[in-house]
Amino acid sequence: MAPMKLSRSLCLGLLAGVMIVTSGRADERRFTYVYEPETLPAGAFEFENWVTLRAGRNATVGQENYNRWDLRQELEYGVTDWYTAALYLNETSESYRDATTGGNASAFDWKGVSLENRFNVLNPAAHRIGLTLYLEGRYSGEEAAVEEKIIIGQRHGNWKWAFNIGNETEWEDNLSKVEAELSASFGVARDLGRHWALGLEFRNENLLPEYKTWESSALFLGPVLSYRQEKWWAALTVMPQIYGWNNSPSQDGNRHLELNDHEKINIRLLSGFNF
Amino acid sequence: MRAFLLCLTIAVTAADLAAGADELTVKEITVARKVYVAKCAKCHQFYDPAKYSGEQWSKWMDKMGRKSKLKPEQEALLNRYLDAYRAGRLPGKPQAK
Repeated sequence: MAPMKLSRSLCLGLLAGVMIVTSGRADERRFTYVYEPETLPAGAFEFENWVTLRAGRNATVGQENYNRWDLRQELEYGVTDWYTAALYLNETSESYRDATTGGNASAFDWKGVSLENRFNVLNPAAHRIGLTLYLEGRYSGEEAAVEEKIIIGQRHGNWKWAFNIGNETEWEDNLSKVEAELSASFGVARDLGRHWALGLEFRNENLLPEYKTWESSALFLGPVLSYRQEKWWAALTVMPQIYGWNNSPSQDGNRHLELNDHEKINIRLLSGFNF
Repeated sequence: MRAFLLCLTIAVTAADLAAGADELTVKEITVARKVYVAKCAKCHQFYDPAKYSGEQWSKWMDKMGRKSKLKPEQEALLNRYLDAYRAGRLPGKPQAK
């Protein structure tokens, strides 16, 4: 039953994403989790729609049949050829079967507004490696976060790769609790003609409450497929968790995956258009 | 004789102007290269203009000029710069120093 619900959720989500894609246009990303060093040209606008499904926790953590949809709508602007600023609206919808009550729990939350800044320090066309610095702030009233990333990458003929390391500090529960997330991600993709690209994305996330203990770590790996037209593009990544680790072994009852703070599978569809 | 000299002067000036429309100065090449690196090569690989017909190339330059938000003077300079590659007057790739 659970797989049927998951596949129905997937189909609905992807259909919603495709409908958005067909009515939009945009700039070109090869990856969905990994950022690339390129920034927008000065004066260019781009709208991006983000749909992320995080599915599959278990009854041991009290969240059987877990589905979480993270939605973001982004407006980017190329302030200069080297600096791009972006404004996001963030929402989350979460549902699961509560193991303690046996009932279904669901919630839709407004996750606030984010302001993202990307500074291209080294243009990949003029240097061996492209380098961009990333700074994002988010605020929703009850929560706030600051995220920094270092983004490197390069093209080699039809191949493209990018690597990110990042730190996010999040203030939760009416800004009373601090949690850190350290992450690293890598993507490599090959252009297949003028429109399509196919690749792989790898991601590692680590949670450190109060910056004191290393609570959990999860590794994700999966394929990414992207398509681009003159004025719009879309990219889809399907990333199952391939290994996870809890500081407390009994937390999720799973030896190989981390299911307390992460999920069995993450799927992200990005689409956008430039104007 | 005076009329002949006047005609000769006009002819030489016209020839100089015609040549000047195609020839880029060192300064123009430097500026065009910067524009090419910032607006073109940052996002995609080098597409050799010689492999496209004049009509195809012009169509792509129009499209990409709009996409990369080129100013009219940048677009004009870049067109001349890439036309120089097209005609084989400049060696290598446009971003090469």
